[in-house]
Amino acid sequence: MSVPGRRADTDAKWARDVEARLRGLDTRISRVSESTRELAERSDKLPSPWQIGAVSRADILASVNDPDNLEEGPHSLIAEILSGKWLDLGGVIGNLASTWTALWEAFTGTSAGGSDKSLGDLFDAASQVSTHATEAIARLEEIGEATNTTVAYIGDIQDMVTVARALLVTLAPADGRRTHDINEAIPSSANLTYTMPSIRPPVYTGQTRGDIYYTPIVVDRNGWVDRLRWIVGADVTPFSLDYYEVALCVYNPDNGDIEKVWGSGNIKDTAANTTTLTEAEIAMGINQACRPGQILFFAHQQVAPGLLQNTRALAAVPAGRVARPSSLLLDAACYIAEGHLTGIPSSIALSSLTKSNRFIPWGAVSVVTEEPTP
Amino acid sequence: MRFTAARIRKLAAAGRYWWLRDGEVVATDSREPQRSGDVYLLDAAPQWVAQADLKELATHLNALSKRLPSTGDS
Repeated sequence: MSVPGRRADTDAKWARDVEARLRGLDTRISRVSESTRELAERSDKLPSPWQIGAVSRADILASVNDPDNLEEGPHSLIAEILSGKWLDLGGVIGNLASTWTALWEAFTGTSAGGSDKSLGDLFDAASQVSTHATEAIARLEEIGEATNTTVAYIGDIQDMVTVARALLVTLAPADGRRTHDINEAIPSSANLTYTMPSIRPPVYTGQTRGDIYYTPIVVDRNGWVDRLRWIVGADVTPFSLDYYEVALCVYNPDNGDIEKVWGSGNIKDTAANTTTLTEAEIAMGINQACRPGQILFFAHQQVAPGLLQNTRALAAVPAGRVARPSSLLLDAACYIAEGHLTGIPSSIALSSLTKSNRFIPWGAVSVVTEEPTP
Repeated sequence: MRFTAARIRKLAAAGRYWWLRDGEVVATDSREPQRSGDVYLLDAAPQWVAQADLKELATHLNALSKRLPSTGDS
């Protein structure tokens, strides 16, 4: 169907064009409303023909020469006209005319082209628009996204993850332990069962140190980073360790460092306070946008210097224990700052870290399409 | 050295930070050692003790006690 004035490339663009022009009419219509009201208020004061006809030339001359005589009757009307009080009626009429033109353009997308268009013409055009509005007008490539997507076996729909969630299962001895450290061998005689694989970071007894695990997440979408999630468990260690921190970091290609974007601080008695294997979540609240091609790192550290302290389990999937070529930027499954002092540092050189291909800790950062409100 | 549920309860009431002092386990409220020779053992945070099964905890601590130097405690 041909629609008057439809010059846009697509239906969607045309619809948006009309919508924008209609929005522009708001101010014009409000102006007309004001003018119409003003006109109504004045209509009862307009001089009637007999009044004007009764005014003689002498009256007009007298009015001009002696304004004191012009307080009542036709004299006063003549005086008002002569004084220019009614001249702004021209403005009112002008507003009406321009609004008529705008209405025509809004519905048809073309110039009214003078005064030959009638109200019927306008209704005809509007009718065509109305009919057309029932047709499909959207084109997918022109519509913005409402959410990011991640398939469910990888993570939540908004997640970018270090490794697929579906890989978080392994066979382990059914010895009553809730998790099995994938660094340990499984006895051949063991009664096996499915369980969640995990690592338990080493303890540095008597020292306020702990390994920091840096696991890469390659950004694949635009949006604002929102929440950090990982899976933590205490197994049978019911006593608290001294320090537990997770952080979101980013690789800076300009200097080769991994730089801290956000850190949780010590959460040993809060978010990570659990005696069972649990998926923990923290809203970072940093309102920072990421973009594809950046390399984030999920960082994690536990410090347990006490003789009777243990670290807590961290969900991780086994890796193939095969070294990668050093020509790769991400040349390991994860990176470790071994025995680092308490606290994930603001910056650390990627090249200074120990490469590990034994496991990949599971961590997720959610990315939302709308900037989170503080 | 042997832990029992009753002993754990008593130590937790005495303090959050547990130390090995002269072969005995003592509890204080300070993370800093109060005497030279104090060996830090653990942080018995109230949140953890509250949710722990003390009997299971005793079993666990007794297993971990192999890490401790031999003492006259029994």
